[in-house]
Parts: sequence; C-alpha cells; structure tokens
Amino acid sequence: MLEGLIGGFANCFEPFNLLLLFLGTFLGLLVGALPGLSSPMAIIILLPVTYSLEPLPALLTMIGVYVGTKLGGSFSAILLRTPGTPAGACTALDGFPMAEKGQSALALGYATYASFFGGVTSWIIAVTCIPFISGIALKSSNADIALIAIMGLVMVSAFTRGSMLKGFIGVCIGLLIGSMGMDRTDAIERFTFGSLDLLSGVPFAAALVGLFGFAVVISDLSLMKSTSELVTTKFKIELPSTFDFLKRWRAWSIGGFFGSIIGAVPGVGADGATWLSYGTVKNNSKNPDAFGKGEPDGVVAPETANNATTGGTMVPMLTLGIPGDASTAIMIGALYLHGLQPGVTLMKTGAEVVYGMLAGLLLAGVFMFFIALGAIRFFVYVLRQHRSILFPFVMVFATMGAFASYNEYFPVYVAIFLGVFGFFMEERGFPVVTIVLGVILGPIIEYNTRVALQVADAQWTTFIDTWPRIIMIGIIVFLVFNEIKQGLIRRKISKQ
Amino acid sequence: MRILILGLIFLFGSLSNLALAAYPDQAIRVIVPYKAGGGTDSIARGFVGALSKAAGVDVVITNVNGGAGSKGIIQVMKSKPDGYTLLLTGSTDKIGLSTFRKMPFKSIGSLETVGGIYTTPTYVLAHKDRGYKSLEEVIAKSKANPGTLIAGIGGKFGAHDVLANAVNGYKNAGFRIVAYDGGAALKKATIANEVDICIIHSPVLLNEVKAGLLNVIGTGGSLAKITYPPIQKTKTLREMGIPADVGVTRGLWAPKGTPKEVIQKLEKFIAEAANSDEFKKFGNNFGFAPRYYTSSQFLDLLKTEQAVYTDIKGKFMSK
Repeated sequence: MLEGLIGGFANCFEPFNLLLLFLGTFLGLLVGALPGLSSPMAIIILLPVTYSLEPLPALLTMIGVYVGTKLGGSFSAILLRTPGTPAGACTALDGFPMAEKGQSALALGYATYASFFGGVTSWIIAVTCIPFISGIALKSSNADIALIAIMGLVMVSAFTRGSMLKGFIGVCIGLLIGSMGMDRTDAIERFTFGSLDLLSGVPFAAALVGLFGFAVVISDLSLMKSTSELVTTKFKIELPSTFDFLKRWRAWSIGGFFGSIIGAVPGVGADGATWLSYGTVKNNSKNPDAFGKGEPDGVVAPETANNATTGGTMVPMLTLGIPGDASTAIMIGALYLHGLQPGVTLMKTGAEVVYGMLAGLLLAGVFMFFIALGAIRFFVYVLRQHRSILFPFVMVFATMGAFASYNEYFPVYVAIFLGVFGFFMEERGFPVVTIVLGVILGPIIEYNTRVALQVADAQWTTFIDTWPRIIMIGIIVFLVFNEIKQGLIRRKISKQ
Repeated sequence: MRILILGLIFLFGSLSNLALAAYPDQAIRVIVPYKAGGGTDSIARGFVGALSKAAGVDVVITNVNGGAGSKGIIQVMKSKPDGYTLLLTGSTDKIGLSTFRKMPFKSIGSLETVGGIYTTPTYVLAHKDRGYKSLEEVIAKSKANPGTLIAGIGGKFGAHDVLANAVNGYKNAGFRIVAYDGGAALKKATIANEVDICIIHSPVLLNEVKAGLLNVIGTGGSLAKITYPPIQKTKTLREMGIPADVGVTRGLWAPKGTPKEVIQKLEKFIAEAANSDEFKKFGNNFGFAPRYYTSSQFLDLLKTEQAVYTDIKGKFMSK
C-alpha cells in the first residue's frame, strides 16, 4: 500500500504529469467559477483530447478538473449567488451575504482554506481506511440513503426560523417540483401534462440557476439605477489568517467528517453532505441566528464537506467501480477508453494508475489552494463592476448553464419561470432555499424509500433494523421534536 | 425551350450530385440520448474515433439526455436529413420506449437504419455467497417461496424488465422484481449482495465475474463472444424453455429523408469503423467482441426484437 502510494507520487512528480494536473486544476477552478459549466461537462470535453495520452496523465487531468470545480463552484455561489451545482447552492446561503457586506475576499478566502482542508482530511481518511470507505459505499443501502436525505431535509427547518409554516410550505413546493416527471421506480408519468420535455422532470440545473441566479437579478433590478454596486465599494482584500480559520474548528471538523463519510455513499455525495454539515454546524452554534446573514462558519462547513467528498467518491470508484457522482461515472468510462478495466479487479490490474490517481488527488488539492488564493484578487475586481455590467453576465451564464444541462432551450424557459416564481416567493418571505432543498433531496428520499421497501417486502421495520439506522431515526425524531418545542417557545414569547 | 429545361434539370441534378459527392465535408454529430458515462455513451466514445478515421472528418458526440432516452431520438428525427446528424442508441432501448409508452416515433420506420455495431445479450448474475449455480435452481427455489426472492433490474420497461417478466411469466417463477434507477445503482446492489439475481446487459460486471465475486447463471442470448471463456457456453433462456431472446444492439440511425447516396456512404464508413482494429480493441477491453450488422441486417434484428417485446408485453406485462 505505502509502497504503491510512494510509486504513485513518483509518477505524479514527472514534470509532464505535474503540468497536466496543474492545468486540469486551473481549468477546473475556471469552469467551476462560471455558473452553468460543470465538472462532468469539462471532463467529457477533455476526454477526446486525452485519448492520445497514457492513462495516468489523462486521468490526472480529469482529477485536477474534478477537484478544481468543487471550489470554483462556490466562487460563483459567493459572488453572484448563482451556484453551478447543488453542492454550491449551500455555500451561497452565507457566502453571498458576506459578499454583499463587502467581505467577498474574506468569504472566498474561507472557502479556499476550507476546501483545501476538506480535501486533505478526506484524502488522509480515504487512503488510510480504503476498506472502510469502500465498505460504506457498499453497505449503505437504500434505507440508509433515504434516512440520510431525510435528516438533511429536517435540518432545513433550522433555516426557517422566521416562519416555520412558510419554510414547511417551501419544502412542500420543492418536493412537488421534484416529483414531476417519470418516477424512478415504476416509470409512471407524473405532472407531465403530456409533455415529453417534462418526462424527466424539472431539470436540476434549471431549478438552481432559476431560483438562485435569475431570482437575485430580478430582485436587484430595482437597484440598477442606484450607483451602488453588487457589493459595497469598500475595496479591501482581506484574507482570513490561518489562525482565524483554525479557530473555526467546529465547522471544518464537522464538514470534513460528513464530507468524507457521506461522500462515499453513492447517490448522496456532495449534495447531501454539504447541507447536512451546514445544518449540524448551525444547530450546534452558539449564535444560530447569524447563519444565512453572512456567518463565515456557514461558508466553512459546506465548503469543507464539498471537497471532502472527493476522497469519499474516488475510493469506491477505484476499488469497486461504483461511481459516487456524475464526474466519477465519466471517469469510469474514461478508464475503459484507456484500456483499463474498472471494477473490483482494478487495484490488481491497474495498480499503477490507481495509486497515481490517489496521489494526484492530494496534489490537485495543493494546486487548487495556491491557484485560488492568487485568483481571489481577480474575482474581487470583477465584482467591483457596476450592476449594469455584471447582471448581463449573470444572465448569460445562468442561461448557458440551463441550456447546457440538456443541450436545448426547454430548461432555459423553466429557469426563467422559476426565477420569477422564486422572486415572488422571496418577496413574500418564503425562503427559496427550502424549495431548492425539496427539489434536490425529494427525489433521493422518494426513490430510496420505495426501493428499500420493495427489497424488504414492504416491511417498514427495515428502517430500524441496523444500529446506524436506529441512530439516524433517533436524530430525526429529536430534531423534529426540538423544532416543535422551539416553535412553541417562540410563540409564547411573541404572545407576551 | 424543352432542351433548355432539360439542360437546367440536368445541370441542377449534377450540381446536387456534386454536393453529395463532397459528403462529408464537415463534422458529423452523433447524438447519444443518455448522459455521459453510461454503457451506450462508453461504446459510442469507443466507436467515434474509428468512424472519424473512416469518414475523414471529425465526429462529435452530443449527449441529449432526458425523457428516458426519447429526447435525443426526437431531436435526430427533427434534424436536417443531410447525414451530419446521426443517432446512436441501443435497439431495445428504442423499442422499449415505443412499445411501452406513447411516443412520437415508432420502433421501426421513423428513422433510417445505417448499421449495428455492437451487440450484447442481457444476462443473469448472482452473488457467489448465494451459491446459485444455474438459473433453473433459483427459479425452483423462488417457485417454492413465491415473492421472497428478488430480481434486480436496471429500470422499468427496458430489456431487463422484459427478461424478468418473461422468466416470471413462462416459468411462473414468482420473483419480486425491483427496479433500480439505472445500471450503476443495480451494479452496486448486486456487488453488495442485496438482490438474489441481477438482470443486466452483458458485459457489465464482467470483472466481478472474473474475480469470482459473481456467477453468471443464465443469458438472454449467446455469450460466445464474451472475452471470458469460462462463461461463453452459459445456458440461454431459450434452452431453459423461456423463449425470450433479449439483449441490446447499439446501432446508428439517420433522419428519414436522408439521400440514398449519403446513406450508402455512411453505411460504408460504419462498416469500416465497426470492423476496424481500433474498435475491436475497444470491444475486447470492454468485455465483448463487436459484431457488425449491415443496415438491412440491423433492420431485421429490430423487427425480431420488436416481435419479442410485443409478445412478452401481451402475455405477461399488460395488467
């Protein structure tokens, strides 16, 4: 193992490989920072370019992109509130308010530190506990995945301190939107109104860029005439010190832990891990009300979790051939095209590539850290531009993002519709984030609950037949009761 | 006057012939109606390199996912019939859509076939810890305890589903059919030993079979061309008394109305690419030696598969 890894590092340190890894990471950051361009998309475009390369350098390029986009995605979430990925959406919650307060450099700095830290933590966990991580990927069955997603959804109620009812309605709307299209178990068409476009439901990317990106542009249009800029004019690049970052140990340790473990669960990955760690950090915070208004912990937690999933997805992909997300699914395809055979035998038949990729995963994290720190100045400069210059770009990128998800216009219309809808919802005090969460987690919960029940022959006891499941049910019950209790206390106070 | 008109017609004809003679002079777009990273996409990517060499122009893949694979098909139908937009998908994936759903296209006739490039049967796997040696053994066990054994499939209304229902129907086997959300989810459930039998397209999970983790216990068609000799003689369902030849052949289609000359050229390119060493090498690594079908052979194959689907749907799947 150690020997293999040392060999892997030696291979990575060949100048050509190192250069490709660096370029991949750079490209990843750029692609991630442009809303709408995603990691799977960049990897698939690179694929033909890498045909002529040896397998390792080709895959190192892809790993660079994969790692880079994880952080890049939060840049756009912080700066423009237009996340390119469900995982980036969580960072927007506190990152964007920080940017509005003129702390964009600080927010980006925290995100960069957190991503680097998350990547390294998960790498160490992944490499030292390969059998453990593969075990999680393999043993987590549909019942566990459903419970993890429900836990994430329940924690959302923490976002809705304003009005529990409005938050609840938001989640329900999200769940309804998420239930559109062909259902994933019985292939029954729901709310498609006979339209083929809606057969696969409301496109994810459209919901994200619509509810976040378009909605924010619409709501800020009234400010267009004012001379104020997207962020305040106070232009000061203030980066967090390492000490500042370390002080937030609670946020990054929770994010790193959740990211590494939940990242390994196929089908939940970064989407679930970021929200769960955000919710947990907020619930454990001394000052939960600061969240959503520009609390740095609210950036650190999801960002650590986001990058910590890279170790969690990479290990099952290399050891079992099980992809954790869309990017790793494409990398499995790339392994075939480069003459390797992904699956349980890859560790034996392609050991050199496997260890090279593991080494590359860590090095990409290091590259990402330095490139991102250097790039913050540039991003902040971009943000200083007037709204009338920035907004067209946000609109163009959001439109591109929606279009590219299906390679056609339908998602663009959906995004525009949801943008207007999201704007009115926010105006009326419904937190848009609850809708987004319902859209993201709803289908995961529904599909996994149903398959779990089918496998268990409709026995609901399947959800309490292992210790992890009992613990998760316990947490869910506790959270629900706690929320109700808090709600009642607040009502009492407001009555007095 | 008449001579002039004739002359003009001739001139026009030869000009359009000239344009055709130049085909292809720009990049050809191949639409794969699924997300990147899946089986069809991998095979398409393994193929387009060879196709590009044969055609002498770039060949680019566009993934148009959505609508359970129908949107890409519809997009090709609506494309200009000039030979620069083609469809690459699985025969039974397309047939499944038009057999089980209301679609604006038919299994046969809505597009022009231009060749089949890769054919693999659907096979039945079981985890080694279950100890099953043959499908008949599992069927007998399931019959004794109906509804207790799980047959995992990769999705409703596809080849997996048809095969599972054929086994249940013809043998009264009583498997509980659980539809997972795609091949990757089913793969995971199978390696994790969550299902009794796994019905999936060969050669998915072949490496796990080679490693001794999974056993191949039956197949919807001959496995003679799979790159792992010990399972090449696996008993087919037909030999077990289940007349359901189920598999998938990845092939290419062009929009209806594509000029004959263009189709002929495409057929030639596809034949050359499908028989190229490059694609053979890809196939061997992927786990199954490629087999080429001319467009008329491919059309016949589609007709046979359509008949099997209609038959099994009518007998066992139209509750």
